[in-house]
Amino acid sequence: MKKRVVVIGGGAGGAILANNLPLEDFEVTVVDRSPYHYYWPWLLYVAFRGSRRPMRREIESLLKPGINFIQSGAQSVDLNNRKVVLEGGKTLDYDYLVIATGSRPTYGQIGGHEKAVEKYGDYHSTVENAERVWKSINSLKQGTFAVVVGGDPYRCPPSPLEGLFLAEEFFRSRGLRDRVRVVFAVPYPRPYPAEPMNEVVEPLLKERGVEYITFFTLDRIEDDRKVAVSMEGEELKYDALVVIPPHVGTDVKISPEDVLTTDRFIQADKYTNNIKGFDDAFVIGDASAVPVAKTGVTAHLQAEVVAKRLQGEDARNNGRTNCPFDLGYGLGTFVISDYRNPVVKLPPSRFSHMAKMLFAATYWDMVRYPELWNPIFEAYFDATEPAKLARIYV
Amino acid sequence: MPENRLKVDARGIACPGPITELVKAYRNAKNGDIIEVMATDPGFKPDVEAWIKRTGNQLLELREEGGTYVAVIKVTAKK
Amino acid sequence: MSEADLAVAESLSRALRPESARALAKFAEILVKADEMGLLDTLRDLLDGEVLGEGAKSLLSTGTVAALINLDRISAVLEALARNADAVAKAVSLLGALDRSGLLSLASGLAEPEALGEAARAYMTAGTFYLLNEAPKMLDGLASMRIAHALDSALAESRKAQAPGFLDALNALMLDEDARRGLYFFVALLKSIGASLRPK
Repeated sequence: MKKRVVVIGGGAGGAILANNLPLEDFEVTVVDRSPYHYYWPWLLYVAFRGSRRPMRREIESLLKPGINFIQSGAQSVDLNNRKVVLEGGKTLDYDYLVIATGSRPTYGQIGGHEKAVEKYGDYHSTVENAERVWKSINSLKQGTFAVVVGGDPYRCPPSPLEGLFLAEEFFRSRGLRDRVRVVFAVPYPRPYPAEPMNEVVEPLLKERGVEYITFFTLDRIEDDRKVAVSMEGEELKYDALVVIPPHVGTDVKISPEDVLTTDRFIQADKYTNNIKGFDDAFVIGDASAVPVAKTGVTAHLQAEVVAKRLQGEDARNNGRTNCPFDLGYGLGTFVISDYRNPVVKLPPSRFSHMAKMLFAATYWDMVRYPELWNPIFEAYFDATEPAKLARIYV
Repeated sequence: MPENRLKVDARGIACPGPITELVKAYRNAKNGDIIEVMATDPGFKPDVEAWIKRTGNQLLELREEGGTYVAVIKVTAKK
Repeated sequence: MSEADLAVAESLSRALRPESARALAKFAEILVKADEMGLLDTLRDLLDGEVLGEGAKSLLSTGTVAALINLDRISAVLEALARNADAVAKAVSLLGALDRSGLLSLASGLAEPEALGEAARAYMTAGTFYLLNEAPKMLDGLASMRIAHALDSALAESRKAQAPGFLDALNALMLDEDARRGLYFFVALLKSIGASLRPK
């Protein structure tokens, strides 16, 4: 008898997991509300480069033949009785469940947030909002452009600074840099929260004349006065601003409810991705509350671990991150760390930027063809273990 | 309203770092609440101290037990 | 059909003898396999204009340009080939030759996920990663030292019939400001390398 695996979510984690299961042993069903799989990192280039390159593909086209795909949202999950109820009312029984529903921005925590997004856009939600950012920076001829980290967590820890770097490059390339001030505000003690990576990026901010405000926990945006106000009452004046929205977890009803955190992320073992208290249910990627960055590489690596575990292998996560980080002007770096090692101080290089672009181009193939890419990635992750790189980049 | 005690387990976070977990708990807290953060990242201690100094919240306790830092913070500085 | 097209068609039909047809079939097999593995999709995605542009931007540094100058010659050869319609025939018979030599079977064997995985394991090391990151910087450094020019003149100087005496060499080192500067460059280099070799 084949084991029935239900995967909720056809994004990076869900699709990679499904494609990694041998269909001789598993009957795999992927469920997603949307027919599309989005390559979210590309929103950055829609927002700050005006890119029109398609950033989505049909989920079905990314799944191996033989995997079932149901286009429907999941309404509720009953972990005790192994049942998933779909929005149309259909019920799926499973032997194993993998929740990969990702995370989504929320606009209720910061006063005036929704209005600000309607006006200036953002690049963590939709293509339309990212296009609004492109319009905003194109119409700003003088004054202050601000990027404000609105709260944690959010997808892709480097993304706030990536937007900032690309915006600075944009205004400079338009010859407006002496008239447009570029300002960054974060709730952390330094521009990038992890110290070693901050040592790489802070000099770049100084070199490029970008101002930054630390310890700024955004409370509200008063757009009539054009100020962002912190929880301690500090004010930041702007002419256009982009807020990195705090994210929340799944909107699927899950019982028992105590597996969820207050912001609806699902608690799980950080090594095995087992949902707290369940050996037949897993959560991977952004939807989980495990202490790792919310990023595609995490979802990818966790998907591989869970696929191996479902096949009886005692695979474990090491908490590896490998986040490409665009630093503007054709430079990039990677944020590389794991559970046991701090972030590597990898200096800016043109290679890292090129690697980010090549990755973006071949992303779909990496999802679709794990037989080819798994060994290549494995070799890459092995070669770039943070412990090894820390001996080179001291 | 009674005070809440928010427990945050940030052990093992290297990137983006445990300070982001503290910031998240702080956003959802109100004056009078207690936030307790556990972390293993060695950068956590100076970060918490700097954060307390700048935001004006109150540090009730900061101790180390076998490689784990525990910070107990009382939220007082919200306007 | 233009005259050139006709010439191509003619040479193609000359080239398509049974044995080269067999080679073509084998080549097609490799293509099918590469397609199943996702290699063709990957190639297609990589040939996207935006990606190529970004890639070019990242790769092009003064040093890389200097290193690539030789490509001029290669493209001249390609141009010459393109002018000659027989080249098409040559390409096809090359496939036949490749087949006879077993190279096509080799390529077919290599187009396996396992083989590519092994290659990745063999060549992807922390050192490779370091070199990929730093190569443009190193090439820029070499270019700023005009290393090719330095090699030329050093070779010319050192190949003179009479080897310089010890005192002559020492004199050059003591009295010539540029020689001292060059020597000091190596001392500084040795110092940094030595620091990296210090036992931990």
